[in-house]
This record gives sequence, structure tokens and C-alpha cells, in this order.
Amino acid sequence: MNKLVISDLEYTYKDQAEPVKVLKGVSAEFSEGKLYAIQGESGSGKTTLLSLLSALDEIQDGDIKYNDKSIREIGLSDFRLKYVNIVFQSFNLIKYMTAAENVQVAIDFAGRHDDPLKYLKKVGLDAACASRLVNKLSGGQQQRVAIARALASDVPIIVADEPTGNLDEDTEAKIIDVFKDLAHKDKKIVIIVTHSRKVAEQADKVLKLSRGKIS
Amino acid sequence: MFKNMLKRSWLSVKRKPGRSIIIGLILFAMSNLILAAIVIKSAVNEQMEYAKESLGGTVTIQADMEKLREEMGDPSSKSFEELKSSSSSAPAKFERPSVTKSVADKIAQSDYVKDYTYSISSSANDDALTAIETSGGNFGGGFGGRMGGPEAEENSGDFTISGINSYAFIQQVKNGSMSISSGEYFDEDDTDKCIISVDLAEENNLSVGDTITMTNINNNAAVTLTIMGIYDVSENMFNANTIYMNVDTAAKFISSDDYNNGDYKVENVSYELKNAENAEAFISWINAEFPELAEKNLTASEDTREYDQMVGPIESVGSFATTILIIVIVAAAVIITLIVMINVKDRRYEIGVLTSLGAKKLNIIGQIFLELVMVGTVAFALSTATSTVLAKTMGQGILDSQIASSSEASEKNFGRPSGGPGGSFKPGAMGGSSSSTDDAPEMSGASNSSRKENENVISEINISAKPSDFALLFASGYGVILVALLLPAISILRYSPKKILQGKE
Repeated sequence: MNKLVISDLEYTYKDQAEPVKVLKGVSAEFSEGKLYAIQGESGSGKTTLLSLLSALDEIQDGDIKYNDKSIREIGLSDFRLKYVNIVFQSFNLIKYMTAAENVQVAIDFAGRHDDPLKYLKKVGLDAACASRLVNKLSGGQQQRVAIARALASDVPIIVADEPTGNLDEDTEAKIIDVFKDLAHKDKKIVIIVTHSRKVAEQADKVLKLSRGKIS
Repeated sequence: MFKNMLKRSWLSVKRKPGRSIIIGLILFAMSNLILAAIVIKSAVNEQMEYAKESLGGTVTIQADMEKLREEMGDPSSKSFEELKSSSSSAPAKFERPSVTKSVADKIAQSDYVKDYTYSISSSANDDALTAIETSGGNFGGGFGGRMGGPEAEENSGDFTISGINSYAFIQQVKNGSMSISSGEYFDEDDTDKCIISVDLAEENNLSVGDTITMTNINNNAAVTLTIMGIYDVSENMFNANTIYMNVDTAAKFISSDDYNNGDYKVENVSYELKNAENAEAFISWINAEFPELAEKNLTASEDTREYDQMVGPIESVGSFATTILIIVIVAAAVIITLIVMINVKDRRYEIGVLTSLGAKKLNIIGQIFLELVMVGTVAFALSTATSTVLAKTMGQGILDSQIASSSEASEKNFGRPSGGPGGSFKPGAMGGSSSSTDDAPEMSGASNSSRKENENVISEINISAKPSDFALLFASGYGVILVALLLPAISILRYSPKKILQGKE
């Protein structure tokens, strides 16, 4: 069983007037096939933790291990390429590409030959949507494209930062279902940072982050 | 990976037509100027090479003026007493260094030599002929006679005898100012034949086939010459009393002493080489085989004046093209750098997304490079069709202005020596010997021919782009793109994907 383990993670923002320590020894364990929700008040270190989990930032203290191998050892770029994909609140799609082309980018990076439509259909988007430029799609559709891209990259860990923050309630529910399927059916480790109570209720496990520590 | 990079690059180029067109237009303008400059430069080099080949290398043997000055002593370095004593004594007779015919002929046996020429000069009289009055008021003696001192004056005849191997070697023929108006030209086999000027022929009612009897002023021996041609010269200050013939015939007009049993002194010794590249080697060979030349204060040197004059304006065009090339490359690199910097800033989210998907930053830099290469390739390819026209217009325009300014300079210098140590200096006139004259064939080039010499200048630039020029354009174009990408690449390497994707960059 694939496991992502974080142990004694500490992180300090040193580029401030006064260094700010946001993570103060965070430890947790994430297993495949489960949906995790991380909650906490603003400034509790949720986004910082997510950046470290998705290898967008260097670990200062402590460690993150995937199947007992430190991501320091794997390398941040390789970890992002082979093990983790991140879904943002603001979607972060490549705007001059169509939905299919955005997904194709992830397929290309994964080094596979696959049909992007397959992943788009999985998140409820049809061929018409697939061929449209992403900036012509609605917020919900764009978020689905971002999730389809994460699916297409075929990585074992999916990290999402407020993925339903910009969506209406109906769309939010559909997106949560997609994440649940990713965890339960595709056996991925899905970690969602969220303020949403609805999302937290659907998670298999909720981690509360408070003052830089998981409670 | 490269295929994916290429695919993303193509999408970016295709989906951002505005940006691609702007960069394309800049690269098109740049490549037009670069290719025009390359083509001009290549045409200039080719034409200079051709000029060198067509003129061939010429090595002349002439007085080593520097050494002569040293030996005569620089008056400015002498003390008052030395000057006083030297001025009170009789002036030392200056012996003009010269080559004998046998030495000149021996040198010509070298494998380097294609053809050679020398001349002798003298003066003669013919009581039956009326000499043309020159602008100086005198007849044949003129400038040379006065330069040569009392002896020269005594030995001056009314007519100048110029002996040269062939008509084709006469300087005025070479620079295009002399032509045969009737009859034929002579060569080395035409003994006792001559060509005379139109003015002299008209004054004395002479025509081709007539004979004239000239008298050697040294021994009064009469030599009958058949007129085989009548020449016309367009130079203003040319002495119309000059009679040209081959060297053997002209030798009949020098004194017995100077004749020296046929091994007489010759002037304006000039060797045309088979290959211009061998000039240095030929000079070294002369110095090694004929050390007596240096002892006599003679020196062998490459004569590049004709070449320099011919290629002068076009060489300036080449320099101008180089300047344009450098300016355009630098300007294009700066402009493209700025555009790509702005472009990279605009695309930071894309860069962040690609990085979050595991793309290495070098991969992203490669993608942007490929985008520029795609646009550049189209721009460079289009410029191959248009730049030749630009090069022709630009090259010919610069060349015309260079020729105009050099003609203007020639007009201003008209009548003044311009040929350096040789110039219009006539060594034959200085010794006061029987062979002195003022109108020796101007192998060393005289300033009064400067107007005509401009006719030899390369006045048309033959522009045609070759595959090597295109290759150079593409290489330099891609080079500019690569250089222009350096600064944006640094900024990409400094981007933090975390900050970009969290909207903090």
C-alpha cells in the first residue's frame, strides 16, 4: 500500500521583517484509497503544508517520505513529475490551449500515449468542451479540466488547494464526487486543503491544523 | 521530450498570433538587414578577390628612397659647419640607382613571373618635324630636363623617346586614357616602328605608314622610324611630343656609353606574377638571388596601387556592411530580449503550471527558444526572397556615394603628386644622363592620370546570394535568438513555482 508520511515538518518564512514560523513540527500519515481534508484558520500553515506536500517548496526541517523514500532524495522536480499533482482554486490552466490540450500536456509529461478525452469524460466533460479553449469554459468546467489533468498525469498523490472555493454548491458537490472517486476507485492519496464544511464531511479523515501543529 | 516541447511551442506560436507576428516582423527586418549585409560583404570579398586575380600581383623594382635619403644625409640633421662646407663644395652628382637589362631579364626567368616590362627613355630631334608646344613653353625636355640639371638641359631633344616592351604596358593605356585612333599598336617585335600622338601627326601632316627620321642627340646618328599607329590621349598635361616604340628601337637613341654593349639601364621594371599570392615569395627570391640590387639601393616591392584604387570604394562598402551587421545584430538582440522578457512575465502562470507538472526549467526555456526558432525560421526564409533586392539597392547606393566622394577627392588633388614615393617622380630625369626625359611611360603612376584612373574603379556591385550566405544568416539569426534568450532564461530560472501558482509572484 502506498503511503505518504510527513514527520516533524517545520517551516519558517525568513523573508519577512520578523521570521514567522508557520509549521512547528507537523507529522501525519496518508494512505492510498482515502480522501483527506486539512482544515484550519487563516494563517495556520495549510497552504505552506500543501506546498511542501506537492514539492513546490524545499523542506526546511523534518521530512516527507513516499513509500519510505524522502522526497529530498527523489528530487522535487521528479517528485512533481512522477508522484504528485496539484489542483488549485484558481485552476492554473494554460489559457491558450483547449481543455484537451491542457490534459494532453500532463499525458506528455507522464510519457504516455493516451486520449485526453478519456480523462475529461471521467470528470463529466464532453468532446465539445474538450475542444474549446479553457478560458471559454465556466469555472466549474475549468476546475474539472484541472482535475482531469491531475488524473491524466497518473500520479498516486493528488493535492488540492480549495478546489471548490470558486464554485457554486451544485458544482461543488460534483467536484467532491470526482475527488472521492479518485481516492476510492482509483486508489489515489487525495489531500484537500479546504475551509468548506461540506468537503470536510465527505473526507475519510480530517486533519485540523492550528498554530502550526496538527491537532 | 523534444517532441512534446515542439508541440507546446507550436501551439503557443499558433494560438498567440499577435505576439508571433510582432516577433516575426522584428526578426524579418533583422534578417533582411543581416542577409543584405552578409550578401554585400560576400560580394565585396568576391569582387576584391576577382580584382586581385584580374590585376594579378605586380612586383616592381625601384629606388629605395629611404635608403637613398639616409645615404645622401638628412640636411636637418647636419650642423651649420657641415652645411656650410657642403654648400661651398661642388654639388655631388646624384647617381640614380637602376637595373641593367640583363638583370631585369634574368629575374624574369623566375617561375613566378607571367610577364614583365621595363622601359627606357631618351630624347631625339628631327629638323623636319615641328614639335608641339607644351603648356610649359618648352618642348621635349620639359620637367625632366629641368630636374636633371645642366647636363640634362644640354642633352634634351625636342621629342621624347619612350621605349617599352609593348603598347599594352604604357600606363596611359592601362588606365584607359590612351587609345589608338588609327593604325596599330606595337609590340616587342616591331623594331624601327613607332606610334605618335594625334597632335603631332596633325601638326606635321603625318599618317600611318609615313616615316620619320629622328636623330640621336648624343651621336647624331639618324634612325628612320615607320609610323604604325597614331594615339590619342585624353590627359590634359600629357606631352604630345612623346614617341613610343619598343625597347630595342628606343635603345638606338641613347649614348654609346649608356648602351653598354646592349646591357643598358632600364627603368620602371615591373613583373606581373602568375599568382598574386606569390608576391612575397617572389620578393624574397629576388632579394636572395640578386643581393646586388640592395647594394645599389634598389628594392623589390609589391605594387598594390592599382588594386587599391580599383577596390577602394567597394572596400568601403564592405566596411559599411560590417558595421551594419554588428549594429543590427546588437539592436535585434536587445529588442528580442525585451520582447521575450515581457513575454516570459506574461507567461509566468504557464511556467508555474508546467513546473508543477514536473517540467524542468531548462525544458521551459527550450520551449520558448523553439517558439522563437519557429517564428525566426519563417522570417529568415522570407527574407531570403527580399534581402537581395535590399542588398542591391543598399550596396549600389553606398558604392555610388563612395565613388562620388573619391572622384571629388581626385578632382581636388588634380595636378598634385599622389602616388607616394613613386608618385609622378621620373627617376630618368634626375641623373642628367643621355636617357633623361620627362615623359617616361608612367608605370609608377602619375597624379595627372587620376581622373582617368577612376575609370578602373569597381563601380558596380554584383549582388547574388549564395547558399553559404543563407547558411550564415540562419546561423547568425539563431545565434541572436539564443543570446536574446539569456536574460529571460535567468528570470525563468529564478521563478518560484510556489509563488507563481499561489499568485504571489
